[in-house]
Amino acid sequence: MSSTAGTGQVLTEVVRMLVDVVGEDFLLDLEVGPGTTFNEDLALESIEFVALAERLQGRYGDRVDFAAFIAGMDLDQIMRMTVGDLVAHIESRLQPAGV
Amino acid sequence: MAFVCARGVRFHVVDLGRSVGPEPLVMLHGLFTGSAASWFFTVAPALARRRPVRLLDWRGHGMSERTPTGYGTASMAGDLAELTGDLPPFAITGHSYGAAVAVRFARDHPGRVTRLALVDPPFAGDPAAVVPAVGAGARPGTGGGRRTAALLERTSLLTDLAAEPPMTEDDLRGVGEVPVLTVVGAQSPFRASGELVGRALPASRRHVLNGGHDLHITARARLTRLLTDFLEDAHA
Repeated sequence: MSSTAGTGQVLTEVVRMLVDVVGEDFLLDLEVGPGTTFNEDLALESIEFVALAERLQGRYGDRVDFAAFIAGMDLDQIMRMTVGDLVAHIESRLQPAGV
Repeated sequence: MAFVCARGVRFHVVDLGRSVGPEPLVMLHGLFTGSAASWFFTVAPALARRRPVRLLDWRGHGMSERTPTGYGTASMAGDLAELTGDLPPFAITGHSYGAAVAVRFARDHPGRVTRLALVDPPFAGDPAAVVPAVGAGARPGTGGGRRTAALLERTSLLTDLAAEPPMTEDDLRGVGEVPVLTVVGAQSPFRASGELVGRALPASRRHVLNGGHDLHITARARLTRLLTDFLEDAHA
């Protein structure tokens, strides 16, 4: 997978939203990257994950439907999700349709 | 993020799915460790493919404000009325105490509820089996652990629960003609609730799924299918 300027931008935005949700103090000691897991590394509470999803909706609108994204996953997959998985999903939804 | 102030309390509400379509579905979580996330990460996304779905955090839970009092079913049914005032008549799925509030709401607000799905309701059996021990948060030090401890130690929740009269057959018959689905866990302490509903509402649907109290987690796929079938029938 090639890295583009867009990749970095979405990652930056997701990290900023994470900071909004869990607070800067908590994330200060952590280097959040594509391999960071929400559950194990960030210990994100499930309700905080919902709050993140709401922020994604606010930022990207209906193009990024987080609920639809996880509807097809089993609970283990959701538990193992990384920041990179989420960023890749967002990017795939932001690309122009029909390409 | 959607926060709504109702009855002087700040509530967190999450809307999913299509804004048009069949009647909305409101999903109510259980107490203590429950929140909007209980449904968000389990059956809500699949149900939201076909209809608007509203999730909420009860007072003292998830991201809603913790209040010192107000955890009885009458109070929480009042919260629900405020938090759904903008919706046309809607279906409800309630887990655990959320199911008890749902029944209360349906009785208090005739015509507002179109269908009622009760997931492991605590109408029969020992509620103490699912009340966390004081100070025994699942993940001490996390927000969730602190929230549960605060609920137990700094609110009237346990007192309100103890003061709540047991659900009777008459209470259940009070929901009127609203179609009812009851799903209980084979290993749940509340399994006998299905029989109570059956005696009160013989025409209702009842299922026993392999699993304990948290069927939305342990029996997610089967529960999703039962709820989907039940909701789709409303439009047959």
